[in-house]
Amino acid sequence: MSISKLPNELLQSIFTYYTLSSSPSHTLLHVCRRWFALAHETVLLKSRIIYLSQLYSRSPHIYPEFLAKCASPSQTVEAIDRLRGGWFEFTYNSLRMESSELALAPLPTEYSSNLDPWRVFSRQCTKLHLHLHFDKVRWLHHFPFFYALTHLEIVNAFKGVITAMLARVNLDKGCPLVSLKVVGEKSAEILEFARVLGGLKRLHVETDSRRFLVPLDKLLPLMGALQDWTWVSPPVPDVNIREAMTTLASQDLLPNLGTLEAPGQLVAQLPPSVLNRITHLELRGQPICHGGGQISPISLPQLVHLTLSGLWKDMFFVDTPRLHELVLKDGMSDQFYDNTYTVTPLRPTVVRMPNLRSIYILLLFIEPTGTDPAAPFDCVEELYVTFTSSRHVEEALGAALGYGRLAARPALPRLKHLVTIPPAKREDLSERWRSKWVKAAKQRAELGIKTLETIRCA
Amino acid sequence: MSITIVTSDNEQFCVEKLVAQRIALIEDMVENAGDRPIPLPNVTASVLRKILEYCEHHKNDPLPPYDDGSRSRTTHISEWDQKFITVDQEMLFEIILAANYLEMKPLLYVRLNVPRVQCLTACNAVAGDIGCKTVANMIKGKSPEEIRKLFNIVNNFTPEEEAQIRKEAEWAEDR
Repeated sequence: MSISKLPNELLQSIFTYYTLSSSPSHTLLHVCRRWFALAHETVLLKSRIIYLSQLYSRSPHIYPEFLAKCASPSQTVEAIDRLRGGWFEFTYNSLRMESSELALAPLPTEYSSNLDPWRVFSRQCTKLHLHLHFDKVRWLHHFPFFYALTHLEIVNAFKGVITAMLARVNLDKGCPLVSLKVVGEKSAEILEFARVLGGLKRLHVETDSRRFLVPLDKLLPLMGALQDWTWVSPPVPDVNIREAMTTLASQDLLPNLGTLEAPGQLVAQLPPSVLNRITHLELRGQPICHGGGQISPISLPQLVHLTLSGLWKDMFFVDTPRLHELVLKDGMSDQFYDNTYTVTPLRPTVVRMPNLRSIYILLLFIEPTGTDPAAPFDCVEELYVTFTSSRHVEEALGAALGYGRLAARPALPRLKHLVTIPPAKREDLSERWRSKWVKAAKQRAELGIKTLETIRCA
Repeated sequence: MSITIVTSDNEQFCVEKLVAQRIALIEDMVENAGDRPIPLPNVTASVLRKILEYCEHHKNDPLPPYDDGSRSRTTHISEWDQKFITVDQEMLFEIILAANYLEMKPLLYVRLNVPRVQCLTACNAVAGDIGCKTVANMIKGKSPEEIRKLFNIVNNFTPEEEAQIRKEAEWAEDR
C-alpha cells in the first residue's frame, strides 16, 4: 500500500492540510504529473493570480458573446462568499478577446470603483498579472489601492504604467508587495518608488532597449531586502557598469541577495561582498569574458546552482567550490566539439542539459582524456539530458556508460540517476535507449561500480 | 450490547455497539443486518483493529460543532492521536483509505442530529482527518525530491515540463 493508491479526493485533503500549515504549495506541483494535476484542482491551491488583459479588437460578431461570457460582479461576490472571505484565495476567471478568439482573462473596464467587487478585489487581490498589448492605458487609473498585493507582474510596461500601478500599492495600509516583474520596460519610472523597491524580495526587469535602462547606481542602493534579482538587458558598454559600481563601492549593496540571473558582463562587475552571498546564479546574455583579454575567475564561494544560458565559456571564469547543480542550456553555435570544455573547473553532482544538440558535447564532459584520467563530470550523481538529435546517442552513450568507450573504464562512475529524453517525435527510441542503458548498468556492476538506481528515457 | 463485524480476511470482531456507532457505515448496516455479522470486504483485520482502537478511545468524546469552515484550518493533532497514528507508511495509508470507506467522520454529526446531507458536505473533505494531517505533516518542509523518496514516487516529468513548472512556480509562489 502506497500513497499512489489513495483516491484523488484523499490526496487533495492531504494537499489542503499541507497548504493550511503555510507550506509552499508550489512544492506539490514538482513531485509528479498526478500531484501536479491534483494540486491545480485543489481549491486552496488554485491560482491566486488575477489575469487582466486589454482587448485587441472588438470584432462585432463576437463581442456579444464575449460580454455574455464575462463573469459578472455578482459571480465574483459569490465566489468570495463561497470561500468565506478567507485570506487564502481569490480566483477570478473571465474572458478576453484576442483577434477573433476568446481566451481566459477578465475585462477590467466592466467595473467602477464604487462596486463592491472592485473593493473586494482591492482588499483581497494578492497576485496581479497585467499583460498590456498597446499603450492606451488610462483605464489603469480606475484600479483601486491595493492592500494585499504581494506579486505584481507587468508585461509591456508602457510609459506611465509603472507609475500608475506602483502608486496604488498602499504601503501605509501594510500592502506587502514582495515581488515585482517588469517585462519590456519602456521607462525608468520604477526609481520614483524607493519605498516600494525597499520592500521587494524579488525583482525581475527585462528590457530590450538601452535607452530605457534603469541606472544601476540609483537602483541597487534601494534594494535592501532583495533576495532574488533577474536582470535581462541588451549589451551595455562595460565602462557604464564599471562606473556605476565604482560609485557604489563604499556601500554594502544587496545584503540579502542569494539568487541572481544576469549577464556575465554585469556579474563580473559586482563587488565581492555581493558575490560572496550568491547561492543560485544564471548567466545569460553578454558573457563574463565579454571584453576578451585575461580575466581571473570570479569567486562565488556559496554558489550551489549555476545555469549557463549564454556562452558556456563562462564556466572558465567562475570559481565555485560548493557547486551542486549545473544546468547547461544549449543555444550558441560554438558549443560543438570545443575541446576546451574538458578542462572546465566545475565539479557538479547534478547536471541538466536541456536541448543538447550532439552526444559528443556530453562526451567531452564525461569521458577522461588521454592526458587527464579524470573527467570533469566524474562526481555527477544525477544526469538529465534532453537530446534534440538522436544521432549516435545509443551507441556512444551506451559504450561510454558500459565498459567505457575511449578510456578503459565507464564514464560517470558515481552516477545514480540517469534521465535521457529522446528528440521530439522520436519517442520510439525510449525503450531502445532504456534497454541499452540497463545493459550498460549490468556491465558497470560487473566492474564493481554501483548500479544505477534510476534509468528513465521519457 | 455488541455487534459482530467480519473483515476481508474473515476475522470476526465482537464490538460494543457504542464503539461501532462511531463508524457511520456500520451504523447504517446495523439496521438492515439484524443479528447477522456485518461484513467489511474492504478492511483487513489489522486495519480494523487500529480503527476500533481509535473508536474505543474516542467513544465518549464530546462531539464537535457543525463545521463553520474554521475547524478545518488547522493541522493540529492531539497527543493521543499522534501516538495512535505513529505507524508504518503502509498502515497509515490503509487507515486513511479505511476511514474514507467507513465514513467515520460524518457519524459524529449524525449523532448531533445534524441532517445527513449537511454532515457529508461538511465532512467528506476531511475524511481520514488525522491520517491526512499526518501525511501533510510528513510532507511539510520537504523538497519535491525528498517527497518522492519518502513515498517512493516516480518523477514522470520530462525535463522540459520540470523547467516549465519551475518557471510557473516562480509566479505562483506563496506569500
